[in-house]
Amino acid sequence: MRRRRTVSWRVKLPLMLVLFASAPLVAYGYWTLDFMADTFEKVTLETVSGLAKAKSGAIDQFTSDRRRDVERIGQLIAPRLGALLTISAKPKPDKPPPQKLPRLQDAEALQPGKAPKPPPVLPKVEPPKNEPPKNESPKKESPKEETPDVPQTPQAPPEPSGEEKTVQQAEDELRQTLGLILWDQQEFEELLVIDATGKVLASTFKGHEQRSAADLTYFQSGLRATFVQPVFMSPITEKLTMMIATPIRDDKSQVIGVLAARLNLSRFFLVINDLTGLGATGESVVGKLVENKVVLMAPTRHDAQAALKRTVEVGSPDARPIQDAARGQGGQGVVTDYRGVCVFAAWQHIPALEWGMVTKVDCDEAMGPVHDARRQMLLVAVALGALALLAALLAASAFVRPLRTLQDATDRISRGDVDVQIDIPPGDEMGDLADSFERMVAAIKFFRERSEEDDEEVIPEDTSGG
Amino acid sequence: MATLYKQILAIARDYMGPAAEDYIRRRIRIVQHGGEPESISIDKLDRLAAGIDMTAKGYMSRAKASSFRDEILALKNSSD
Repeated sequence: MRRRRTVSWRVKLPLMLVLFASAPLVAYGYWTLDFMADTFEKVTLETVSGLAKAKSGAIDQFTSDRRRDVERIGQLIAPRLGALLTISAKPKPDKPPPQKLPRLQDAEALQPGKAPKPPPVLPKVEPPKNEPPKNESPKKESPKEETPDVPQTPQAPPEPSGEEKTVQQAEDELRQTLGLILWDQQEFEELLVIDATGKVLASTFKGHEQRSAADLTYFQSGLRATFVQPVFMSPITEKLTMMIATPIRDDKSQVIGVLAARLNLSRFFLVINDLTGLGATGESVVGKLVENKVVLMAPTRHDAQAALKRTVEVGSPDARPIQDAARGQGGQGVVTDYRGVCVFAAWQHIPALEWGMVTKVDCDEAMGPVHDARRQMLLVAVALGALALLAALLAASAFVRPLRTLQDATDRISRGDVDVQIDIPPGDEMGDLADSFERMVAAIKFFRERSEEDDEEVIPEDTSGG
Repeated sequence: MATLYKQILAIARDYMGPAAEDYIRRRIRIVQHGGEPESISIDKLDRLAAGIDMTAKGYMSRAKASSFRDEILALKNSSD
């Protein structure tokens, strides 16, 4: 009875050979790819972390510098404001009764997800007598035709003529001082001097004068200490802007007004949106915690309209870094961003603004070389595997063929046919085995022949005669 | 030093395996007309080789039988 064979050596051998040939290759490939992935992850995180630190540092420095500038300007104009207030305080018989001032429509659009209000129609102003030098206006863009946002002419205030200054003269001096400062300081778009009651006494944006800023946050906070109003969409300029307000104090340190400065954010956004070292998908995102949402405060690379419109719910699984950064925590890691895309990110808090900043690069881009290497390695592995399989099949065939020959010969002998010829070349173990087998066959033939001869000898001769 | 008979037997074992002794004794007896196989001398090797050449073909391939014969004849040269 023939036993049923489970798996032939013709199959087992190639499998073993391919396994032994492929297993180390696959293991080495995985180890290499793993090492590469770790290295790329580490390098990318170090890069984005360095960029995040540099950018947050630059923004922090920018904000601190502007705070200091505004405080210095506040000190600079304090004497002029004091003079104006002194003149204004003198009773005048023909002075009209105080009227309710129109409200200054500013800094009211900081509502997450809300579009800014349309710009108000501002009162017409007379064009300045002396035009400022062209291309030197700190206001680079004129948002609306009817918005007279041309800063005051940067000319030196006129010397007092020896007569008592009028309120108008004092206001002109203050306005011109502001104009000169604005002209000199390219970092601001507008400077406003507001008295302690909230009335805008002078502005480089004349349309804002004689308006009430009493209910504006930056005025109220600016009365107490230097205050930075986060980025908001200005309804006046229709641009993202920031306000820094600082108290103006007299000689006795009494608060006599507030200096509010509207920042030119072009350099600020330039720092945030600088894509150096961030590849094709990297970007920096800044956000501020407002109630239970983080509001993105600047346009992003992937969403130019993100500023003040795009929000991230606190506690949502996506965009954890901006949530953490806005809450004062820093870190780095592989996370999901506000688009729901895997990113390598580093996040920082910006103390001066109470903002969070996330600098990130898409995982796909960062790990691109690893993916390429994986594809190449897979191709090489497949090619080598095919070669190994071919070699293994040839080896198995060379190994199994003489075994089959011997098996067939043995099978024939076991069935009584000793006249077998084995054609296995000598020189290796199979040859030796065949040699031994042939020896055994020769012995079998000899013994069989002798046995037959012996049988013939013992057969009695027929004596019957017939 | 091994006797000639033992040398012949050692060669025969490579070709006939367990049947070597019986086969060789039979062949030598034929060559010596019934004489004791152990007493075989070199001058009988030619006839022994011829007998092997004729009979071994029945037990093994022709090539092997020739090789068997040649090895037996080679004993003659080694003994000279």
